[in-house]
Amino acid sequence: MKPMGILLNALCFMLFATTVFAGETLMMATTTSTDDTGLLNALAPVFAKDTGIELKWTATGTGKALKLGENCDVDVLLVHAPEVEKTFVGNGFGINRKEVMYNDFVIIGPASDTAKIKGKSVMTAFEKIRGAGASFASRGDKSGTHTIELDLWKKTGKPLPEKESWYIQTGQGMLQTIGMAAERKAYTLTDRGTYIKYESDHKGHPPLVILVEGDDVLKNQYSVIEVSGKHCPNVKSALAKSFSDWMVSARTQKLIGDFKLLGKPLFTPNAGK
Amino acid sequence: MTGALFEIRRLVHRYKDRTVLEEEFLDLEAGTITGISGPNGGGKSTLINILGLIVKPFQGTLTFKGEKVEPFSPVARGRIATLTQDASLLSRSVEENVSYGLRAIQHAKDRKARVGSALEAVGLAPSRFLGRSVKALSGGEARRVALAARLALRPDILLLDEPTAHVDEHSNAMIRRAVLHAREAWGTTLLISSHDREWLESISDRTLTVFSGRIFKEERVNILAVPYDYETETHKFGGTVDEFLNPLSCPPPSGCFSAILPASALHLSHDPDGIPADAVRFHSTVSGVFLSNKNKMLYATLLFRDTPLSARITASQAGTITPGQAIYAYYHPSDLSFR
Amino acid sequence: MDFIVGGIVKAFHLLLAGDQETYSAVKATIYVSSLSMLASLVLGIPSGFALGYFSFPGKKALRMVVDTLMALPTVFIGLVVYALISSRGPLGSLGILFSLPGIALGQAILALPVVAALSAMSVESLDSRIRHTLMSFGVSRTRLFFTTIREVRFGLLIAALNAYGRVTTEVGISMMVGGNIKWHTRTITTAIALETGKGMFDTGIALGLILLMIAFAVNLSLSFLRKYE
Repeated sequence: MKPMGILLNALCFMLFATTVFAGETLMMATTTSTDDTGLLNALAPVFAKDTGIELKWTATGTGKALKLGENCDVDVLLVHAPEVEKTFVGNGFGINRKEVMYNDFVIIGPASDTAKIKGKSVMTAFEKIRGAGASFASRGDKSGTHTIELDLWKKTGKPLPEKESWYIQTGQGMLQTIGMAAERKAYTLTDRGTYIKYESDHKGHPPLVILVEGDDVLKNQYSVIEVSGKHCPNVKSALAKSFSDWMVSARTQKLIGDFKLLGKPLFTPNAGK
Repeated sequence: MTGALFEIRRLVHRYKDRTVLEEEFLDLEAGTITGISGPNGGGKSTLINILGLIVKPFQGTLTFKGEKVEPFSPVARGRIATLTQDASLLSRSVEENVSYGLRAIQHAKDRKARVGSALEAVGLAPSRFLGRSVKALSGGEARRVALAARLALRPDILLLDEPTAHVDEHSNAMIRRAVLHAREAWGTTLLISSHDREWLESISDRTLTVFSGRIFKEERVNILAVPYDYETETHKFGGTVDEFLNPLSCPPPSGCFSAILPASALHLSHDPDGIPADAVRFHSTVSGVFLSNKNKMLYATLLFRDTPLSARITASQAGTITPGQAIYAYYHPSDLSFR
Repeated sequence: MDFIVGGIVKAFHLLLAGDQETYSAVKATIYVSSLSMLASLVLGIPSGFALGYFSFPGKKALRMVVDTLMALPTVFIGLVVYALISSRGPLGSLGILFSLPGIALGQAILALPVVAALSAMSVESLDSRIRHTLMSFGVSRTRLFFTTIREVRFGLLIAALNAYGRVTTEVGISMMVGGNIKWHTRTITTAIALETGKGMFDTGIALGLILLMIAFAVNLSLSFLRKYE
């Protein structure tokens, strides 16, 4: 296959042509929420100025982000599914898991609130939704949000409503899922940042409103994990460590705390706490 | 160069397991026009496609100007051209179509003049037709444009497969004129197939008959309907003479097979006792006697139940056979060739 | 429905105001599609031509395989290419994951069967007519070959345009292999997916219109080429 060889050579040439001039870059896999909200767009230029390292990221579900780390395709991860992350580190794929910040989840639903969950605890709310057979939209995509939602169902002590007709698995991103929930007058679990965006898109009169918030179990912890150099000899361990250290530094923590979307703060920095 | 311009030897062509053409020896002499006739499916188009170096024969040799040739042979490049039965035009202008062959063989010199004289040869005025789109042509005009494209090459050998099929009378006459012009002006050697035997004989130096994959060189042939018994799979050679020539005498389970009988194998006699016992005989009437100006042979024409037949006669017989006369005709069944 | 009108307005705004993110995505799209088209044409036209021109045992079966490959889903190609060029994949040492050449490799795989199958088809459909006509003039074998190429050029152009259409509109490969990295591997289609995900429907529509404009420009220039050849 001579032509194939030539093609590959050509591709390699172009690759080098692009990377040689790009300087040092760090590849990160993260979740859609950090990208959609614009947090990374705000942080990356500051990071480049401080360290001279260019941060590139691919935004995906936590499940795929971790898989990319396991396959040594990225150097560092910024994700939010603590239990899965611990397994990831335990398997030797990642090191130095550091908690960086959190935001919180809320349960939203139609203002009519047919299952009467407003102001209740999460556990009660889930029980009531199940009891009333009210529609509930689930991400169903192994994202961080989905993982947490599954945890919450598990904590109610009853089997997952996987096959129930009122349980809608969208397999889509958070905003699409909220949109679908609105169309079906369903409840759903979302991170606050995405909801703020959704709310503003509807000029303050959203079809879905916050019904349950502030419960401790709704805390959404983000952590940064360096991909293990032992597992993946090709990763840029030093760069990953600089990023990880930079993220938990006092200055960056303040930046995160000051980051606002539509005038509302989104993330609470909690490194080292 | 000692031999003929185009020599065909030991030709066998097969399609799958079936032999579709077989010919030991055929020559095309320079500057001659050879006509080929015969029923559909007999092998006329196959012969033309093989001689035109479009189809490679299963077996056999073709020699052109003393050199062996096959499809794509350099020596035949632009020298052997074919107007196939399905030759189509490109949906462009007449000029582009007529010059297409010249461009294809990369002949640049006097291209314009050749295109013009080729169009004139087929009776289409270049001033009127050069720029015309082929979509605006009648069937006969399109056929003539396709012929002009071959004539523009001024080939040594030009093979025409049914050039006059489905064309109007005027185009038919123009094609005839072009063929004669090509031979006269450019010395082109032609091989032309046609259903119209009369047209063919009027134009060609000799006429071949292709029948069931075999080539009959006798100038005149008779095509007969011979009863065939499908149950016993045998030809009925016995019985009355009527049955042999009358298609109406072919009821099931017998059918009729067409068979070819060269005029040289149909004999005439006044004396019924002098006819060999194994021959098939019948009584007929002489309708004419003539001398073929092609092979300089004498022929008698007969009419048997409205079927015209030809028999070759010797010079000595000629004096005893006159039109209107009743006479016995006979042939040996072994001289019949079946499909 | 107001976001459709909003999208049209926004498309012109993005283009005229020289929006950097948009132009970065446009550049990435043109770059990867050019690269993948180059590779698929260089490989696809000769092989497709050979597939249609020559007869050999197993030709029919091979044609069927190529025709089937035309229907390869882009997400599947994306997955396979990811598996190949992931650090732990057999071609991991190339290091082209999350890069434009990586996307181009996937898109070339997408375009190759389209180019090959359609080239073969146009050669075959031409075969009976031109080949017969040329042979009836008594041309040389090389001449037959080159004239066939000449006669088939519009068929090849259509094959290329079809492949180009698939390449510029695909999102599965760009997303999986490119990773939708802002300023780097974000193409117009992955940007549309992202904007839609963010609920920015009007921006998504604007980007879609811009992609349509690029396709229109390509078609327009090719039709001029066809007119003045």
